[in-house]
Amino acid sequence: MDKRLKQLLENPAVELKHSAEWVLPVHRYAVSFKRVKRAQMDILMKMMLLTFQETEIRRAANLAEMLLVEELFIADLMEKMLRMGLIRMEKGSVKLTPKGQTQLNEGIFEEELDDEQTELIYSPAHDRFWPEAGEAEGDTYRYAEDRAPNMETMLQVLAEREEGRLEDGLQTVVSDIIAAEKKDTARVLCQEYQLYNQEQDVYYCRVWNTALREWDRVLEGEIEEHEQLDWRKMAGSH
Amino acid sequence: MNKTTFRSPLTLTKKAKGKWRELGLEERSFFSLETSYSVWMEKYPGLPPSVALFFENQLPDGRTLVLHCAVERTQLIVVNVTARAAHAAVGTNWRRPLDLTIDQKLYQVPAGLLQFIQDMPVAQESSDYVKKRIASWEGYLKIQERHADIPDMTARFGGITFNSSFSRATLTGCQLKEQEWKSLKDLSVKLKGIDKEIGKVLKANWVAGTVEVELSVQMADRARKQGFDTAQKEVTFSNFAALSQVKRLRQGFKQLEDGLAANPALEKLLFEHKPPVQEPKKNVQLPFHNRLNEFQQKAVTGAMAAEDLYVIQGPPGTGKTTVISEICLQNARAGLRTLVASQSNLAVDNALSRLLAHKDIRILRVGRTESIEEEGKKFIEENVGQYWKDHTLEEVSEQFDARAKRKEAMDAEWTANEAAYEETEPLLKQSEEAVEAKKQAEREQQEMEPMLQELNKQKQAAEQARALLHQQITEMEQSYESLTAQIKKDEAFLREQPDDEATGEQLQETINRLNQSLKLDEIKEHMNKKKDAIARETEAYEQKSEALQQTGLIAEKAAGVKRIDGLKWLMLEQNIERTSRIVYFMNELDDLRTELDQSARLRTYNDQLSKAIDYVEKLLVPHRVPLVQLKQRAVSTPASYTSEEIDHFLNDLRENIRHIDPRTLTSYLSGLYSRKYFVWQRAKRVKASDAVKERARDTFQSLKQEVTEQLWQKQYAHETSCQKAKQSIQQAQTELQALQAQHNELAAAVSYVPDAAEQLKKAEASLAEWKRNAEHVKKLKQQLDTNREEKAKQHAQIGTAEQKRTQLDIELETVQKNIREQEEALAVLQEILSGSPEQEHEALLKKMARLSFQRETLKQEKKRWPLLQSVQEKWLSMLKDASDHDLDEIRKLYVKHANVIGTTCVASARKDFIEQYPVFDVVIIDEVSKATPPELLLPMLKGKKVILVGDHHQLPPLFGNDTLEETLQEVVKESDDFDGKAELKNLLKESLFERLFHTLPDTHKQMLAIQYRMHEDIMETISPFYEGEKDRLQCGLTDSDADRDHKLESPTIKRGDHLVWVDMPNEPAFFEEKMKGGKSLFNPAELREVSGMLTELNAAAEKAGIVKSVGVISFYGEQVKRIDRLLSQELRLPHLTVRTGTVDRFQGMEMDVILLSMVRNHANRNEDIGFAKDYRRLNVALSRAKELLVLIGSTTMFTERTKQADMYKHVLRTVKTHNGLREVSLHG
Repeated sequence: MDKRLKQLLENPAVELKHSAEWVLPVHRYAVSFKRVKRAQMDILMKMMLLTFQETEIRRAANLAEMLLVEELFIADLMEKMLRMGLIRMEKGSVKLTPKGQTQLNEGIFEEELDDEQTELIYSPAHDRFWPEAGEAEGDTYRYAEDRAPNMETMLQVLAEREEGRLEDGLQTVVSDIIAAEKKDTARVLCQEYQLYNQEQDVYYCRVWNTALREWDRVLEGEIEEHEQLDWRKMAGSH
Repeated sequence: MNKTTFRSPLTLTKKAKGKWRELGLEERSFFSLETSYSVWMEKYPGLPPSVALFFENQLPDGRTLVLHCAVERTQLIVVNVTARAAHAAVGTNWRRPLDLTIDQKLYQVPAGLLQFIQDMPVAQESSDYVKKRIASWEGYLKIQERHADIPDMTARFGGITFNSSFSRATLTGCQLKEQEWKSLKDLSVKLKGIDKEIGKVLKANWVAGTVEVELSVQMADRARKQGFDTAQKEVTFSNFAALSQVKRLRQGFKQLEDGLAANPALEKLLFEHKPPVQEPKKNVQLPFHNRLNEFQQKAVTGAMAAEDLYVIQGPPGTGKTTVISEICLQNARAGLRTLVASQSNLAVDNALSRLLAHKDIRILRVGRTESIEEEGKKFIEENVGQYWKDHTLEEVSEQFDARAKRKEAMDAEWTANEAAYEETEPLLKQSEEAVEAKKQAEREQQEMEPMLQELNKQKQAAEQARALLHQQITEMEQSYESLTAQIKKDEAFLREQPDDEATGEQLQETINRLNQSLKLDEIKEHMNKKKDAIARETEAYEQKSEALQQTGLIAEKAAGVKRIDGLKWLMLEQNIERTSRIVYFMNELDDLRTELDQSARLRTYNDQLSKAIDYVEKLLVPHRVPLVQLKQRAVSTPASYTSEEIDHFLNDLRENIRHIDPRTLTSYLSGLYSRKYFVWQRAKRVKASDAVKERARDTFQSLKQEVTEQLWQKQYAHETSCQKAKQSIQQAQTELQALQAQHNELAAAVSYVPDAAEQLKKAEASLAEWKRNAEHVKKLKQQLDTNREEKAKQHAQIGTAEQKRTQLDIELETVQKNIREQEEALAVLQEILSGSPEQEHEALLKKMARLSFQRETLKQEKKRWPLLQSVQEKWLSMLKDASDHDLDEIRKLYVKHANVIGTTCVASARKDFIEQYPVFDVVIIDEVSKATPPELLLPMLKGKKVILVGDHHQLPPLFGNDTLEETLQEVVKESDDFDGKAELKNLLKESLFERLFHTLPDTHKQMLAIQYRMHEDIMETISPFYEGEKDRLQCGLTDSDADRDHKLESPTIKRGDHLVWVDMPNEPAFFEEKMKGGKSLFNPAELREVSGMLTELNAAAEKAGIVKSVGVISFYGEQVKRIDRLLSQELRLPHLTVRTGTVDRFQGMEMDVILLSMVRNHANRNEDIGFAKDYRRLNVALSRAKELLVLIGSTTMFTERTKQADMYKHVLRTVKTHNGLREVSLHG
C-alpha cells in the first residue's frame, strides 16, 4: 500500500471508502516583462528631494499636505537631510544642496534592462501561480473550471521571483509585464481518498497534489463541498 | 520630578575605603572634583537616619555605585560601598533624585538636605505595604502555578495521525509514566526534528496511549506537506510557556514592590479602599472625530480629563471600541503615546482593527507573530511599512483622482464664474446709480421739508388769524347789537324819572334836630355822674384827717418810752417795719445783755475758786508744798473747762476734802489753779460791765430814734393824702358847674324830642335811599352818553375788520396753492425713496466679492493643479513601485513614531517590550473583566494614566474550561496554609474592576448605557443585569424593527420575531448526555433542533436573497464540537455564515442571528444547571445577537428546576410577551 495511504489509515477508526486518481489541468503562460535597475532609496526621502526641487516648500506641513504623509515623518526626514547636508534653508524655503542634487540624481537614476521572458504556471482551481507542474495522463478533475490569471497577482509573483538587490546599493525591480500568453495546459496528477472516521462519524477526503507535494486543502474542500452529504446518504442506503 | 540640588560633606569609613579600592575607584578624583552628581537617594528604616546614594553608571564597567551612608549633623559617613548591576532600575518611586555636590569644606550637612531626607518615604515600608496588599492576589498565581513546576517530559511515540482539517494531531503509542499522563493537559508539544513547538495538548488518553494536540495554523500547513515525517519519534512535553507567564506575573508583583510603576500612586489606587485619585482637569472641551452619544462623550471627556485612573463600563454593544478609538485619536492629537492592552490576542487585534484608519494614529501591534490574529497582522512591525504604503497610496490616489476630475469642473466653474461676473457687473452699476439717485432724492427731500413746514406754519397762522378775526367780528356785532338795545332801554327809563332835590334837604333838617335833642340827654347824664363822685371823695377825706391825728399821738408816745420792752410792744402794735438798722440795734442789745450775764457768772466762779484755793493752800501749808511752782506749772499748761465741769470739780473737792492726803490735795490745788487761771483768762476777754451798760443805753436810744423816725414818716404821708383829697373835690365841683351851664344853654335853643333816637334811625334810612336813587340816575345818564359814543366807534371797527378778513382770505389761498405744489414734488421724491436699492446693491457687492474670492481660489487651484498633480502622480508611481527595502525607512519612522501600541497584558511584560517602551502616557486595557488582577497589573505598571474598559456583568477570567470561581475554590481546598485565603474569597465576591467601578468618584468612571447591537426585544432580556447601575441600559436604535429586520420567514420564525425560545420538554427523550469517560455534556435532542433550525433559516435566507451571519453557541464545549461536526458533515448552508463556539469564546463577538443550545436538561435532583447558573455567562449568551436570538432548551429545567430560576424566568416572560415561545412535540 501507498505509504501515504498507510499513514492515513494509521488510525484504526479511519476507513477508506473510495480512492481515485485524476489530473488537474494547469496552464503554462509565456510571460515577457521588463526590469529596471535603480538605486535602493527610501522613497519618501526621494519624493521629498524631488518636491523641494520642483517647488517652494517652507514648512513640513506644506509637504505633509501635498503627499498626505504624517507631518512628523516629514519633519523627521527634513531634519535628517539638513543634518546630512542634502538641503538647506534659503530665505525661508528649502533648497537642495549640490550634495542633495547628486543624491537625487542617483536616486532617480533608472536603467531599463532588456526585455526578459519566463514561464509561469497558473492553476485556475487555486487561482495561484506554481513553480512547477507535472505531466500526467488520466481523467480530468471533475470540478475543473477555467479562469484567467489576475495581472496584478502575476506582477507580484514576478516581483518575488525576479527582484533582488545588487551591489553598490542598486536593485532590480520588475516594472512591467509586456505580454502574458497561455502556451499550453499541463496536467498534475492527484490522488484522492474518500475516508470515514467511525469514532467521530466523520466523512472526509484527502487529495495528494503531486505538483505541490502536499495534501491539497483547496481541492479537498471543493470535493467535500460537492459530495460529502451524498457519501453519508450512500452509506446510509447500504 | 523636580530635582533639588544639595551640597554636603562626606567621609568614608575605613571599611568603605577598602571597598572603594576593591571596586577600582580613585577616591581622590571622585571627591576632589567639584562635580555635581545626579544621584538617587533611598532611605533606610530606623534611627539615626541612614540612606543609600545611587550613582548610576559611575563604575568603569557601567554598573551603579551605591554609597550606604549614616546621616549625621556634621557629615554623611559612608559606611559601605557596593555595586549594582547596570540593568537594575535606579529611579524608583521609593527613591528621590537629587543633584549632589560633595563639598568637604562645609562643616555640617545643610538643613535643606536633612529636611529632604526626613520627608522621604522609607523604601522598605512602601515595599512592605505593597507586599502585604498584593498577597491577596497570590491566589491567582497559585492557580497558574499549580502545575507550572512540571519538569519537561520526553517520551517515544508510535505514530501521528491528523484529523480531517489538520487542526489536530493525535500522537499514538505514547510511552509515558502513569503520573505523567495526569499533568499533560495544556503543555506545549515539541517533536524531535522540528524546531518549533507544534501546539498544545488538548486531551491525553492514558488508556489508549494517545495524546491529542491542537496544532497552530503554521503546523497544520506543515502537516499537509508531510512535514511531521521525522526520523525519530520522540516528543517533549514542556510547561515552559506557562512557567514564563507566571514568571512575568511575579515580576509584575516585584516591580510594584520595588516602586517601579510609572504612576507612583499605582499601589494606592489598586489597594486602598477609596482609591486616592487626583482631581481631574477642569473644563475639558474636545472636538470629537467619531459620532458619539452622550455617554460615550462623557467617557472620552472623563478619560481625557483624568490624571491617573478612569474606568469605563461597557455593556454589550455599547460601542466600547468607538470610545477606545476616540481616546487613542485624542491622545495622538495631544502627542501622547497609548498602549492598548487586553488579556487575549483576539481582543487586542479586535480593538486595533476597529481603530480609525487615520494618519495621526500610527498603530503598532507587538507580540509573537504566530499568535496574532489576521486583523492585527497588518500592524506588526514587519508589515507596518506595507500598511502605511497601502493607506497612503489609497489616500493619495483618491485625492489624485478627485483632482483629475476637478480639472473639467474647475474650467466649468471658471467659465461660470466669468459669466456670472459679467452678468453681475452691469447690474452692480445700475444698482450703484439707483443708490445715488436715492441719495439725491434724500438730499432734495431734506431741503424741501423745512420749506413745506414753513408754508404749513404760514397757512396755519393765517387760518388762525382769520378764525380769530372772524370771531372778533362776530363778537363786535353782538356787542353792537346789545349796546343799541341798552341805549334804548336806558333812554326809556330816564324819561320816567322825576326831579326831587328838595326831599333830600328836608330829610337832612330833621336829622340835625334830632341830634341836638340827643346831645341834651347826654349832658344831663354827665352831670349826675359828677355829683356822685364828689360825694364819694368828701367821705374819704374825712377818714384820712382822723388817721393823721392818731399818728401824731403815737409819735409822741414813742418819744417817751424808757425801756426796751415798751419799745418792742409799740413796734408790734404799730406794725413798725423792721429795717436792717432796727434789726441790728435789737441784736446788739441782746448781745450786750448776754455779756453782762456772763461776766457776772465768771465773777461767781472766780470767787468760789479763790475761796477753795485759799482753803486748800492753808491745808497744805504744814506740808510745805512749793505753791508758787505748782501755780506756775498749772498756769503754763493750757486747759479749757466748761461750767459744769468746774461745778463738778468743786463738788468733788468739797465732798472729799477731809479724807484726802496732802499729795492728792496738791493735785486738786493744781486743778484749782488751772481752773481759776482759765476763768480769769475768760473774764479778761469779757469787757468791763460798765462799758457794756453804757453801750446798751446808747443802742437803745438809737433804736428808739429809728422807730420814732418811722412814725413821723407815716404822719407826713397822711398829711399829704388829706391835702390831695381836698384839691380833687374842689376840681369836680368846678366841672359840674361848667356842665350845668352847657345844659342850660342847649335846653334853651332846642326843643326836646323824647324818642329822638328812634326817629333819627328812620330819617337816616330815608336819606340814604334817596341818595342811592339820585346817584343811579346820574350814573345812567353818564352811561348813556358813553354808550352812544361807543356805538359809533364799534360801527367803524366792524367795517375795518371785515376789510381785513377779505385780505386774509386772499393770502390763505396763495399759501395753500404753494403747499399743494410742494407736496406734489415731494410725492415724486417719496416714490424714489421708498425703493431699497442699497439691499440689492449690498447683495450684488457680496456676490461680486464671492465671485472674486471664488475666482481667486480657482486661480490658485488652477495654478497649483499641475504641480500637485505632477507631484502626486510621481508619488503614486513611486509608492506603487516601492520595494520592501524602499519602505524600510518608512517602517523605521513608523515604529519610532508609533503612538498606539497594542499587545496582550502578559506580553507587555516581555523584556524586549519593556526596553523599547518603558512608559506610556496612557494605558487602555480592554476586556478588563476577563483578565486576572496580576495580568492587569503588568500593563498598568507602564501607564502614567490607566483607563480600564470592561463589564463586570460579563464573564470573568477562565482557566482552561473552569471558571475562576471553581478554580479558586479548588485552590482554597487544596492548600490550607495559604495566607490570602480570606482576601481571595473577597475577590471572588467582587472583581478588581467591579470594586474600582464602585469605589471611584463619578468623575473617574462612566457607564456606556446606550447599546446599538440588539433589537430592543433582545435587549430586554439582559436589562435586569444592569438595573443596579446608575444608568439604565437603553436601546440606541431609532427603529428596532426596521434597523434589525432579519427579513427571514420560516415555519418557526416570522418576520417580526426577534426573540424565540424553542422549549425542549423536560422528558428523558430530550435529556442531556455525558461523554463516555469524560465530564463534558451534550444534548442530542437539541442538536437535532439546531440542525432543523439552521436548515430552516438557510431556506429563509435563500428566499430573501441574503446571506446571514449566524452564531451557534452553547454553554458546553462538547455540544459545540458536535455542532461543528454537524455543520461540516451533515449540513450545507450556503446562505448562512456560521460560526460556532462556547459562550465564553463568543464574548466580544456579534452576529445577525444567534442560536443558543442550553444543553442542561435532566431530572436529577442533586444536579443543577452547571455553567448556565452564572448570570454573567447568561448575559453574554443573550447579548450576541443583533436581529434574532433563538434559545433552544427546556423552560421547565431553567425556570423551575434550578436555584437560578429567577433570571431565566425573566427571559421566559420577555419571550412570552413577544410571542416567542415555541413548543417541540414530545416525539419530534
